[in-house]
Amino acid sequence: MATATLTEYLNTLYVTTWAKRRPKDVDQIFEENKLLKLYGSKGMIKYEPTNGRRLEVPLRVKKTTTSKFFGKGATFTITDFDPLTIAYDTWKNLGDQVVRYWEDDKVNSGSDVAHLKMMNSKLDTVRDTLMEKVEDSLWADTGGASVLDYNGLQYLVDNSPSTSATIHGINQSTAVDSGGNYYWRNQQKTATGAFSVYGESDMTNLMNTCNRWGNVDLLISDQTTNELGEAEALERVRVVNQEAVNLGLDHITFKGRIWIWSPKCPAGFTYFLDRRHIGFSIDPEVNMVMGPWKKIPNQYEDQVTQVVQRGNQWVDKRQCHGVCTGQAA
Amino acid sequence: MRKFNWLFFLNNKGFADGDDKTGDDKVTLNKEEYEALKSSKEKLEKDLEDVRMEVLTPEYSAFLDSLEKGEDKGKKKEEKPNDKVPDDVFEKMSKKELFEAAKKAALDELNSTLDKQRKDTKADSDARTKREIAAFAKTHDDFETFRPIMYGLSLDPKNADLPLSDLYTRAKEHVKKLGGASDEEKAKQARLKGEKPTGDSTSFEKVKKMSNESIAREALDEVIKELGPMPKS
Repeated sequence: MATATLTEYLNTLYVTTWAKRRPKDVDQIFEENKLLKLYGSKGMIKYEPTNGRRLEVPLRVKKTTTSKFFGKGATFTITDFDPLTIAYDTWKNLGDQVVRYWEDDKVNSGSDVAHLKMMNSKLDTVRDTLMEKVEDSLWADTGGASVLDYNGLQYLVDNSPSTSATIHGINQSTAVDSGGNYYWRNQQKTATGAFSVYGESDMTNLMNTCNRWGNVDLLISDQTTNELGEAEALERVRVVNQEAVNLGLDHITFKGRIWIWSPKCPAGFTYFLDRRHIGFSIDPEVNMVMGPWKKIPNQYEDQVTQVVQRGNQWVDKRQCHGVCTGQAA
Repeated sequence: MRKFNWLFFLNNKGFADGDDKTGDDKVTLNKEEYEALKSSKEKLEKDLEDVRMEVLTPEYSAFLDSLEKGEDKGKKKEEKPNDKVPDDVFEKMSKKELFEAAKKAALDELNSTLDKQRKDTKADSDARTKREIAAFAKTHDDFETFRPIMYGLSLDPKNADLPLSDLYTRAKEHVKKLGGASDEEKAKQARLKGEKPTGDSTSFEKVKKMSNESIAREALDEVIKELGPMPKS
């Protein structure tokens, strides 16, 4: 067997190490992100292969027209019925690279410890960067095929749901079901006034409106709004949510629902989410995997590899989600 | 060679003009000879008329008339390409061109005959194969399950002549082979127990409790076992 060079040896070491720590790093990325952690808790982190060109989101918006009350000997109209409307979106690729310079390899040669230290530092940095990218993208106000990022929460739950915008290929301003209802719009409410006076009634109203089409089980605000809510709640009996306790989340509750905050949430906003109809899909075969090490052209023995992931955030129903805007003390 | 031109010699003008009757090409007939030839000509003309009357019956004449009017066009199904070529085209051809044209026409006709035979043979063969497959499917309930694999195996030139029963047996063996894991695969599956979908072939639970430094050290130990100590350069 031919003896491996230092470069080949380190390539093997990095790949082996990443293969070992990948499950842990992936879990850290998903567990440290509160939103994804809460999706996962409801089974809404889906693992599916991305062989197809597009991400398919099946929607159940059509209803049969043949149901009826009937008497003795009555007949039913036999009509075929396809309940599925498929919404489409694109898979998104997230990746980062690890570069190794020949000079660093040479400087550290002779010391296993130095190599391990550098390797851990590089891999930790890649993991942290990817974690930040995931968080940024999940909260962005962009999405669809025109951008490379995941669909952001602000894009999926729009603060202006009646304006023309296309989500998963369906225009929210025009799409109606057989009953003429705008099935592809989320709920939105602008705060009536000061949070201390109107906060609770506004939020109750919006939650009830959302619950007409689903069951809100998660509220996410910016830090200030969440603190305003906590200050109000302190005057009453504290109720904790068992699911959030189990997940180890620092939270407050609103009508028994988990209410957390995120630094990425726009100021004065509170999102009301029904986690049965929002989630994140990942390709298990391309989930933070490290590609082969390649020599960088025109550089002596410098090496590079990429760590990549493929997935996207989606909604399969929008009427059950809502956003309360303009909340302030 | 001596030319014998009836028209010339039967032309009164020929005599009246007083052409040179002593030339090698000229023949002078006396009256008896002339009368004999004349009667012979008349006899031939009569025979010709008899033959014509025998062939051109009223029915045949009517048929020829209908051909002229184009009533029989529909019956001309297999008109050869050369049939349409006017005669003067052939007349303008050199002998070599005529030979080439004839050769081409003959080859075309031969090829079309062979094509027809091939098609007939293939249709027969396909029908026979379909009958065989239908009979085989009737006696083997799981035939449809193994059919795609049998088809795949049949594409291998080595298996080109295998009968259906052999292909079926081999397809079953193939599936059995796929179902059984190798020792290496079994060991990998054992390590996978309790792992999450995101994990690799090592135990996730074990790795989760380790620090990144410990994982790196363990990885290095594995690489040392595989490649030996880390080289200096």
